[in-house]
Amino acid sequence: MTDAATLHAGAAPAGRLIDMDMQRACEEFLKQEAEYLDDRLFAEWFELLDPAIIYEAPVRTARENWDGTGISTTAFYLKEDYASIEMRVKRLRSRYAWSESPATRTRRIVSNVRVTLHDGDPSLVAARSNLAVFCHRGDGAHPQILTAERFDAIRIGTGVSRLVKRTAILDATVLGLESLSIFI
Amino acid sequence: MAEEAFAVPASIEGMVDDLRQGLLPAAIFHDREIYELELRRIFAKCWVYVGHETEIPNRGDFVTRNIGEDPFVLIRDEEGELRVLLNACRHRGAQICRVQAGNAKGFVCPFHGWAYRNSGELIGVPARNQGYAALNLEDWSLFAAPHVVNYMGLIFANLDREAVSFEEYLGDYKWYFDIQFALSEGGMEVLGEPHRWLVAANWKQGAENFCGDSSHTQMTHRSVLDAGIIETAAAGAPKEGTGLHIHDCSGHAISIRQLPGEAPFISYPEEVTRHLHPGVLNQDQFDLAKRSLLQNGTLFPNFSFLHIGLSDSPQKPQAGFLTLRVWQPKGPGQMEIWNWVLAPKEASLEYKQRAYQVGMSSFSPSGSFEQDDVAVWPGVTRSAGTVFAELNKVRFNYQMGMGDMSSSKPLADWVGPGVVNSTNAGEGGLRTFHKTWYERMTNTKVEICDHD
Repeated sequence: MTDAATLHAGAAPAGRLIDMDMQRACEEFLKQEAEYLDDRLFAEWFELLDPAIIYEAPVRTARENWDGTGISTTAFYLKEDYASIEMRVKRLRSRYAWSESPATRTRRIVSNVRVTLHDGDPSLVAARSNLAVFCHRGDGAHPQILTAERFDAIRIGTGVSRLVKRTAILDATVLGLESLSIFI
Repeated sequence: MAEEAFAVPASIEGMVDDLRQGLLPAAIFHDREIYELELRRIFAKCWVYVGHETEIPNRGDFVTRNIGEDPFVLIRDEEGELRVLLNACRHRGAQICRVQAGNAKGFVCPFHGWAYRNSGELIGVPARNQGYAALNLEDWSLFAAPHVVNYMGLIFANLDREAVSFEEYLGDYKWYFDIQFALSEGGMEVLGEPHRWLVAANWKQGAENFCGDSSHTQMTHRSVLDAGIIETAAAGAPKEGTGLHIHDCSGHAISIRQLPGEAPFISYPEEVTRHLHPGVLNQDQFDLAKRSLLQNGTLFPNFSFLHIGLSDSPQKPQAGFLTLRVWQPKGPGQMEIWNWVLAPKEASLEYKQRAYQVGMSSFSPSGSFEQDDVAVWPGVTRSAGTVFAELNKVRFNYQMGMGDMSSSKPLADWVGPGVVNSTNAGEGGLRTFHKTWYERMTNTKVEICDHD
């Protein structure tokens, strides 16, 4: 079981906030990323990833309040590295990737971005953000909505920033989408 | 079946003739009356999978599961016994357990406080002396599935007091079933909490698919060939000699891809295969596992397995894993898929993590294979629900490989049970599933000898 403390391990203690330029740079990075994904510019999105990326979305279960967060340490919807994400992006280019053909029309809302210095690595910042993705498929009138909190480690550089680690904690225990064919 | 036949719903009258021709009434994927009968005639009477012993290793460990749509708590009690308890207080019916997993010595109902041991016994009723003085606690234990079996770590329950034993239910299918779960002495281990997700398709869509639908692979899963993570040997065109479709095996079916003369062993690497031994399997079963690239099957009604090796990237070697799934009914037009990834218990932690990653990457809500299955299946449910289908009594075509459709004949000298076709250009396994379904729905025997 993952507790909140573990998830926050990359983040500096409260109070060690970074300067506003860094905050802004981080927010711009996350907005750019969302734009690439919503526009299905997967090659451009892939360029935002560090080759050492660890990209995870754990399964969660409803537990008693005294029994941890219910966030699994062993089960995942996504447990990716650079090569496996590259495969997923390549699959999406196939015209036979039926789950995304026709494509899900997504609208990502990224908010509540909280940026702190990264405890372990001074070259990184820790960004915590809320994510809502509205997913429209086919001729369905109503979107499926995925919500998650993301714990990211980002290397902010001059001109080029890269996502080094992401843990996306979905709020659902049973996914309402027929497939998780989008990145979160 | 000596008992009386059940009344046949109008939408499947004449279905035996359909089955004889390899046709299937579309209504079975949509009709509400059919669905309600399935819950009663199939899910309340068949052996239904509820979980794996490695999910609840300690006393008091529990998970919540369903039989049909009914909620149960699968728990290992203080004596170590596995119980499948109806998640409903005997007092006024509130749910005694409102989480998905945990550990508990017992349950206290949040409504009026009736308290139960984790074996289901009622041990406390608040204000008993004032208001329930004559209540005999022993009469008010939680309802429990009358039959629960732990078969090679798999826990099945049956709600029918008159049910045949699990071994009898499994019948000759045991020969293939055991291969999945007894390759190593320690058996298979579940590697994490299940994936659960909703798909707008009938539960039978997944169940029949795993009976042996080899010809869908090339079309539905063409994107993974394009992505380079599976070789055509495992996903390519149906071909004489490599694909085996085994059907009419005590009412169940399995599909096997083998490489004769080679030993791919489900793509398990040497560090895993050194732990694999015949053990309780005979040499023929073990040799078949060795020759196999993959094996997938369904134990009627809604428990399926896929034993396969894949990768999450063309740059990384394939890794073998076992995925188990339950096609959970949620109304005629919806199912919830439950998916678990397993590996042999003796494998290293590193290997298990790799097997999980590959299993998740291919068969799960984000699975590069499974995503495309569930993109296609809802269309069937939609078609089955059309007024056009109803007015025209539309029947789907399940004739592939049947009679004159194929020159291939069943193998006469095969080492295992069932009717065995040495080509996978056939839908015999799917026909087996629907024959068994019809038998269960009508409590009759369908005498159709399907030689593909």
